[in-house]
Amino acid sequence: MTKYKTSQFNYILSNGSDELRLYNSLKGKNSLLIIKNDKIKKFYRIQENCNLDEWEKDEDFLKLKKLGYFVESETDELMLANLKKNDVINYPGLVLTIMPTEDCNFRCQYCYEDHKKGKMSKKVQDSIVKFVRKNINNYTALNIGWFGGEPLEALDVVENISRRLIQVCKVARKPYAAGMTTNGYDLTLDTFIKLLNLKIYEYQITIDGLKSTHDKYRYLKDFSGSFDRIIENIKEISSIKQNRFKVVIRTNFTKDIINNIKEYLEFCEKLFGSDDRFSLSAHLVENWGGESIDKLEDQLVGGNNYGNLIKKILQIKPKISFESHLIDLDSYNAKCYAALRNSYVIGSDGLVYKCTEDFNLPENCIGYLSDEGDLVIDQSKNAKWVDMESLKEEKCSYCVYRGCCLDGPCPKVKILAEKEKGYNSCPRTKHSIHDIMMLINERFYEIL
Amino acid sequence: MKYRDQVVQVLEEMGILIESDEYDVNLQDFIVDSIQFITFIVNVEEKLNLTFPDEYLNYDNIETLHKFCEILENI
Repeated sequence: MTKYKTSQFNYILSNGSDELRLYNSLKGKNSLLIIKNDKIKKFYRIQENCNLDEWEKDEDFLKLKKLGYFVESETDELMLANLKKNDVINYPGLVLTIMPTEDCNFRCQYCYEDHKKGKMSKKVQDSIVKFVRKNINNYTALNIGWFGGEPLEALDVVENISRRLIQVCKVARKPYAAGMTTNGYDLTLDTFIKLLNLKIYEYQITIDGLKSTHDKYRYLKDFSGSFDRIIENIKEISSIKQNRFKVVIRTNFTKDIINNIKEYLEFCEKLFGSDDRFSLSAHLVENWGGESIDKLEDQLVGGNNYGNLIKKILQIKPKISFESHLIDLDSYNAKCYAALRNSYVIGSDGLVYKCTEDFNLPENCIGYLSDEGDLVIDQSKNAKWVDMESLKEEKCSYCVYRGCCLDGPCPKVKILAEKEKGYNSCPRTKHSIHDIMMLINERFYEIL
Repeated sequence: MKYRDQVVQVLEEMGILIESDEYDVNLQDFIVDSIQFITFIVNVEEKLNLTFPDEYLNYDNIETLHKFCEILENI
């Protein structure tokens, strides 16, 4: 008879007497399981001794095994985590984050970009298309992320490159997928429909609380507020019947927003509560670089309080989706694109970066895109972002979150850690997994 | 150019897009090894119903689309 053991990557969360929530960090979001009522006792019995004859053909045990909670006793789970890390880092698709302009119509208080570089030239646009066309057969798929600046300030560039890359992928018979990070100000219904036709299906729009706080933090170049127009755009977008798109509403919480969190979440409920195409992603404003953040110093909550923010949201129990937080439980998304070997950020001037933060960090700029469409990059610089081995510490071997974190999800942290000794390499989500498990709506769980 | 459209079609069938406004293109950027090269030549032969003479079977002949089409016309 095969011997089994409990996986070292299990999270077990007791939520009162009638529900257990389970998550296995190695299996990721697909392991999410809720055990209800009388099955709870049975689960504890299995956990006490998973090698009883009676479990061998037991359906519940087989399900728990399938979801990764019990593994064969000979299994080396650390080796499996290493294999997974290799799979994630060497994702065989090409991931391009393109900045069609580095200028922005907003001047957000916490923004780290200097907006000095404007719109992408025709030459750089051509180079991107040439590069993809020459190399697409070396990859399994093309993933485009539109970023900026504000990408909709250069809609013509987005249209031109999208149309051509879609055609390149069609001819090469490779899947094409795209998303956009936008402030939402110019995302009118007409523009949105145009973008859907360009296969841009995933959006991230930031709303920082109610009008009073949002307009204080996210104002236009002329200092006027942006809240009303963004909300109007979101209402219009949600009125269409298309089911193909997803919108993540990102909120960067400050003390001010947290003080009005109940009113804000109620507002979100009214705005998109029952619409599964929309979900809320909760973050804390942090010092992401740049100078303007100094003015916000008294509003920063501090990264260690992330768990408290999630707890506050849970107390209010808003009827909105937090689907976007599934990425915190899934290495294939939690691992930053900067850590992927085949991921590049293309600046509006053709410079190539790994990370969309901190463009002035010397390690970030790894090369440039030539006029001929060749990516001229310093592979040793690229390797610094991809190889996370040096971040691994002794404690990682025993960490229950390692199956997801895979020795550090943020390579910028690693680079800073090498520069500034003592930098904490653990992701903050590690300390909030139980809260995030509660935040994730029940429909993303299997039920036992 | 007499055979350009058919050669572009062969390239598309091999997964290589030549954009409509492109005058010329370096085919060696896309056809990078001997197997791809021979596949391309065989596909062109089938499409145009001709036989590519052995003395022209030289990788340098696909340096540009333009040059390759000229060679085809001279066969």
